[in-house]
Amino acid sequence: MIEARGLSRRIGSRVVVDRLDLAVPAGVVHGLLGPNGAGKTTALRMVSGVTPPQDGTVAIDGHDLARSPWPARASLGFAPDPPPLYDALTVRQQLVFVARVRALPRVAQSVERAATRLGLAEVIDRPCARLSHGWRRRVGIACAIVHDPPVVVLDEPTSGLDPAARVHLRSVVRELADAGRAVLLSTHEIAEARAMCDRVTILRGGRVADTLDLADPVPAIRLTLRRRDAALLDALRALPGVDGAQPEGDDAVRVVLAHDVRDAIAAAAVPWGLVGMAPVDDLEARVLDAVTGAGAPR
Amino acid sequence: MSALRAIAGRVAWQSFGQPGGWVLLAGFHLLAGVLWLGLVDSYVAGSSGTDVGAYGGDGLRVHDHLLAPWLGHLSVLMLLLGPAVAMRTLADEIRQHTLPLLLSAPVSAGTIVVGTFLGAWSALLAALASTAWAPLWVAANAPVDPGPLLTAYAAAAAVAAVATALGVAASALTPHPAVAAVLATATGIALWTVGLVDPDPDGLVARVALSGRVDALRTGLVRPGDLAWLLTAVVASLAVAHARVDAWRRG
Repeated sequence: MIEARGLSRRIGSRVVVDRLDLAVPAGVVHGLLGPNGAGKTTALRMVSGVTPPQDGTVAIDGHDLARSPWPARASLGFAPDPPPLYDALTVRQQLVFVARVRALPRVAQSVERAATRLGLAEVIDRPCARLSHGWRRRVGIACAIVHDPPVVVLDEPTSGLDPAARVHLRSVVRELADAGRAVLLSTHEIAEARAMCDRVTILRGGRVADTLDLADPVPAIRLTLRRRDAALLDALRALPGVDGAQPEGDDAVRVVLAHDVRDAIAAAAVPWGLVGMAPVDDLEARVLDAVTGAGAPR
Repeated sequence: MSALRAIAGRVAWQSFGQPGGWVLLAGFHLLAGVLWLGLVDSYVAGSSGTDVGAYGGDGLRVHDHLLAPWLGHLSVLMLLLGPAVAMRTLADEIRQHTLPLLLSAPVSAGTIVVGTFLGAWSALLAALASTAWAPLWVAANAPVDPGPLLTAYAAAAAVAAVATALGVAASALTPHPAVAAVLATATGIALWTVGLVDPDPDGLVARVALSGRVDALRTGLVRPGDLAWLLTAVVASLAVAHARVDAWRRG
């Protein structure tokens, strides 16, 4: 659905995005994660056709954005940050405007569907100028999906929202993917990435620092044992499907998995008095490694 | 066409859909009314020296001595109103961060610019149409030749088109509406008055003056050269705006 190859953009001598590759299939929520200034927004704007890349190509739903911009843009909905709302228009007028700009055949139906999906009934006739931050986010996303596109790009969709609004928008994002859309979003919050994304690309200085598949059931596990020695670590590291094993504390081992081989690990650890085995959420550690440069950029 | 209509409709609605637009419209009507009363006074005074009635006869023709001068004044007002209406158009797209909405849609830079121009111009045409009470009042009291009247209105509409196009161009060049308004108004007034520096009405300088290009039209004479000049002025201004929007799209 989204295929980006070698996207690059410089501002003056500064490289904002450097040879970014992305592939987001249908039904997947893909996050761009990184600190402010990592190049997330520029990458999203290039994917959305708002800012052309200086190098590289983007294909949206099979349409090359440079060579076939109209079908590519018709297949795409982009919710930038801040939301692109005309203050003088009401929410309904805003959505009708977007539907007409996109030449939709059934404007009223499209507006109704988008408004319902984002729960906008309460504010539908309120001027955009009088919307709170959270409502503006919702209306911005409604504008991005009013034409029911197969590809949705969201820039910081939950940034600055209260917990209830966050939960609602997370569910909206999930529903979009579950309905078969490819969703690409940016966030600088690890918890948001964890809550919304199936896959995350971590950006540092415009380059891909790491890519994590959050849909993997268990990327790492922690074993708690009665005793621990070097032979145990060697035995674990020798197992196929294990990427590494590191001691933690006095009685635990952190095992990084390439595949889900928990049964084999449990069997190998029994002689050392296996007490427990629990999944480890190492996203935060990997993100920190990636953005601080502790891990080598890939 | 749908996108063009949508953009034009939004700009037209926003032009007079908020308090600032109504203030502009009220100011326009106030000035138009003051100018009208002044011309009526002059006309009545001029007519009193003739043997005919105030609004008819062969002495002072109402079109030449009342309607045409008044519509000439309205043309000058259009030079002020056009930039005032258009100054916020593309500048607001930047200020309100709405440009990505259009740039990510299947809409060309030309559609954005022309739609914006048509929306702002139609707002000015509506303002101009709302002055029809004056010729209707005259027509109720004296014979009015509709041909010259319509071409005089067309002249004012043409000036409005040039002023609006200048406003749209200025709005694309700066994100500050006030700066855009000053830039467009100054350019419009310069175009209007440049003929004054050349006493020869057929001289090169006089020929590029906007005022000279609508004088004939205001008296009922349609000259292709004038129309071509007016069209060129509009297209050139919109080309500047188009180049700017295209530059935004290219980043």
